[in-house]
Amino acid sequence: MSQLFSPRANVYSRVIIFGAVILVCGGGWATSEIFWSPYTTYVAVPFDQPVPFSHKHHVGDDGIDCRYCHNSVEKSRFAGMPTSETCMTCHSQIFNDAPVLAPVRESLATNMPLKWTRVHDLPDYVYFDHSIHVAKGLGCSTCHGRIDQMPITWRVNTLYMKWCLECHRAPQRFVRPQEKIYDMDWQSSRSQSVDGFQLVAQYQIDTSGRLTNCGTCHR
Amino acid sequence: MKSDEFAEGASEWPDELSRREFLRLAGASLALAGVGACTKQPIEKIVPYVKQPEGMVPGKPLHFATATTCNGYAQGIIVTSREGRPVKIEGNPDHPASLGATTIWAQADLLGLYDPDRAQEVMRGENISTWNDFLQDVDVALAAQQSNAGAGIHILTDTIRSPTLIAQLQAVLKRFPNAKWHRWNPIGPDSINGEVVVYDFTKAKVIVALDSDFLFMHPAALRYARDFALARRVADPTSARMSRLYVAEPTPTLTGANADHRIAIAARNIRALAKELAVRISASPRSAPLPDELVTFEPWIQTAANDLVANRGASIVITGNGQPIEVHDLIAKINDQLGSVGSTIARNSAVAGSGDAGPPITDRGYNQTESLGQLVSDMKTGDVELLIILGGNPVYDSPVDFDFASALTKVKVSVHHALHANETSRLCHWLIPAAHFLESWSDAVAFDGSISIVQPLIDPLYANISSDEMIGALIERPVRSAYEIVRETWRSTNPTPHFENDWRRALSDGVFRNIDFQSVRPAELHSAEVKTAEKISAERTGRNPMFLELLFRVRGRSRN
Ligand code: HEC
Ligand code: HEC
Ligand code: HEC
Ligand code: HEC
Ligand code: HEC
Repeated sequence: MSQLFSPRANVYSRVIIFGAVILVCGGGWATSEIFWSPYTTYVAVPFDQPVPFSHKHHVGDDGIDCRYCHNSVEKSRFAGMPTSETCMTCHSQIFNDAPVLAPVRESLATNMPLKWTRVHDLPDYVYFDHSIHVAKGLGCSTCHGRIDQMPITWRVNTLYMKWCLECHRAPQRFVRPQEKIYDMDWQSSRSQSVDGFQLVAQYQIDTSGRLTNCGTCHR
Repeated sequence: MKSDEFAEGASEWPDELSRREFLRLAGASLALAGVGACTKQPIEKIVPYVKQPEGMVPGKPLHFATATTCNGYAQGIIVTSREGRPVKIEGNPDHPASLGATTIWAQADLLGLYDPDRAQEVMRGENISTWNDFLQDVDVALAAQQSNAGAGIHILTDTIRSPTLIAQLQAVLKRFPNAKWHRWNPIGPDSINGEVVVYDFTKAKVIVALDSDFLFMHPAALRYARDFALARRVADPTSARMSRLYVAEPTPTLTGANADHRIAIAARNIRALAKELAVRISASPRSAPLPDELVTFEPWIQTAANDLVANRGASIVITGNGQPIEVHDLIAKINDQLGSVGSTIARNSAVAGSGDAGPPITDRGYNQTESLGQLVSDMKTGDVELLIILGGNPVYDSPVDFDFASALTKVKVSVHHALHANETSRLCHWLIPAAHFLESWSDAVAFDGSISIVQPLIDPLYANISSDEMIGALIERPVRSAYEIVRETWRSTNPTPHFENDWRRALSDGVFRNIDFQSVRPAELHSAEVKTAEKISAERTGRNPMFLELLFRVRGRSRN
């Protein structure tokens, strides 16, 4: 009876086995790289906007409060976006014929809204609510980063489920006093590990585990 | 076995694709469906307002009170609106016909608003046209009518209960005294008596329903079901007593299902049954033997009659719209005799569903079929020069021997104002797309006479025109907006300095005015007709035990 396998079969089998392992690992690595790259997360990716709006100028330099423009952030799921009228309260006086502001003037004249490109965008199957987060002591900068230093707005966090859960599992690491919500400079101090729990108790944040139930965000 | 039940080949497995092959493909699709999740968020837009609307917080819903109609009667609703779009309808707790509940039809009204098959454009025959072109056409037609006081103008409507619309139609008739207003509702008159009768089921100890589905198919069913349930819920067994419900009905209904004593009886025998009840509750002895068709129901009749007599002043006898006017009169007489009017029953012929603005529109003795017949014969002789049809579909649902369709072609200018293009629109010169009630101002009267203002939640999605504007086209230039027309109706009848306040309150509460119900003792109103009713039943023709009865039951709400 002749040999079933030729001597070269050993080589083939090794190549195939190791090749398969490398392919699977490499594929996994590549997928993960793509998954966490700005290509999919949009982190730090600048977007085309109809007007090159700069939070750095308006917030950082001029010190305008977030709520002047995002006026429903404490009341609603949606943070609110400034109307064309809001921009024109100032820009009918300053930069009132700057070409960069032409789209805003045109919007007001034609009654057609500006269309900003969404920087933060959760899939529609996720429910997110600003008002509860602000009420329970989470500052804008925790999730949106140093907006006041951004000449054009970008995303600082992935908005992946993992990111939400990191905080929902341990909110004490991120909560801050109510008066610091709009403070862009706020950093957690050494004593956060103690203060955090105190604040969690003070805000009566739910620690029963309900925050990580699927139904909290997918409803 | 019947092999050609389905289209050819539909029941066979095409052999090119074997079962295994199919499963393989299905498996592959299933596996690949998971890969479909491997997508990144597409780039999306965020669009702020140009000017922030007053009183709204983006992301938070707003709620508005308005009213839908059930066979013409108002039912208060609260509509939830998100970013300017109505998304959900619920009942209005402050409205007497709703008390916070809605019907399945009210729930579905939203689908009517967003229905992509709605009539969208003003159509002149096959061509898209405009409202202004239409007005020009009307102007020409009206100019020709000045000399003969509008003899060529005919208006065909459903049963209408909107006070503003009635007032407008009256104004048309005043301006053109020879014009005619015909009413046609193929599923029968709604308020057969021409008066408003309101029952208080919370006070009734004994209820006898003769072919009446007051718990479900009734404009006030939401309210009545709630009241009925209240009287059936006994918290303290020593003092209170549960009400008892006797039902005699030809078809199974929800009311029958809730009855303590139910009999199935042919609809044509209800009259005899009512008569028998009338005899038994009166002191006078029975003159004739029990008719054959009632013999089997003897125990039911006797128990019901005894119970009614034992609970004088705390009973309700009610019948349904499927029954002829004689039965309604008999029932009214029974209720009078039992002394329930004033305690469990309130009558008000003054309101009669017309509001203050005009005479009762379901007036007693108005014969719809006759009126429609008159219209058709006028159309055939070419006397109708301008015909406005408000809603409905007479080409489809008028009696066949009228041959409405061919008569319609003889009309000089025919106009159909409708939510959907249908058989009638196709034969009319003009189709005016109607506004949905969530898109337009109007008003409506509830079963007890209380009035609701219908306010819009959204601008018309298409080139829609409301009924008020449509009729306005006959009497005014420029045609005012429905808002102005409706507001004017109520401002002129309420010349109080508080009108502005009342109006705002009405819009926020959803009820304009709760009619104060003084129960009106019926005078000799019914006696005359009851005699004829007795005569009719006496003339009952020879008995045939094998009748086949054909009943048309409306399982839903008539279009409005
Ligand atoms: C003068 C008005 C104004 C002020 C003040 C303002 N913003 Fe904005 N913000 C805008 C405009 C306009 C946009 C949309 C253009 C863009 O994305 O850069 C925006 C976008 C954003 C976005 C991204 C929204 C998206 O598309 O996902 C965030 C986050 C944000 N602002 C946070 C803040 C915070 C935090 C503050 C206060 C520190 C603030 N903004 C103050 C006008 C303002
Ligand atoms: C409270 C007043 C105020 C409001 C509201 C406001 N701006 Fe400005 N904006 C300013 C001032 C002040 C400057 C000059 C900033 C500087 O150069 O430091 C400016 C500058 C700008 C410029 C010029 C380029 C730049 O960044 O220097 C643009 C573009 C601009 N604003 C867009 C907007 C838009 C879009 C809105 C509405 C969402 C808006 N602004 C609302 C005060 C305002
Ligand atoms: C817990 C994290 C978190 C905090 C805290 C937070 N945001 Fe956001 N923000 C988000 C997320 C997530 C989105 C994307 C929401 C979406 O796509 O529906 C978002 C979106 C926005 C937007 C775009 C409009 C919208 O609502 O979709 C603005 C503007 C904004 N945030 C402003 C603010 C401001 C101002 C504050 C501080 C008062 C703040 N945010 C605090 C997480 C946060
Ligand atoms: C930095 C911390 C933090 C981040 C990040 C965060 N959350 Fe929260 N979230 C909270 C806290 C704290 C609460 C308040 C819980 C309570 O009411 O007790 C909360 C509450 C909520 C609630 C309301 C729960 C309820 O029913 O009361 C929702 C929904 C929610 N978060 C969704 C999200 C989503 C989606 C994300 C990610 C896009 C997210 N959150 C990211 C801290 C965070
Ligand atoms: C704190 C909020 C939060 C909770 C709790 C949560 N999710 Fe999510 N989930 C998210 C967000 C945000 C995303 C969107 C992530 C993204 O953009 O890829 C998401 C996405 C998903 C997806 C889709 C992933 C994809 O890429 O298609 C699935 C599946 C999912 N979640 C399942 C669950 C299950 C199961 C649970 C309960 C064990 C759960 N989630 C609990 C926030 C949450």
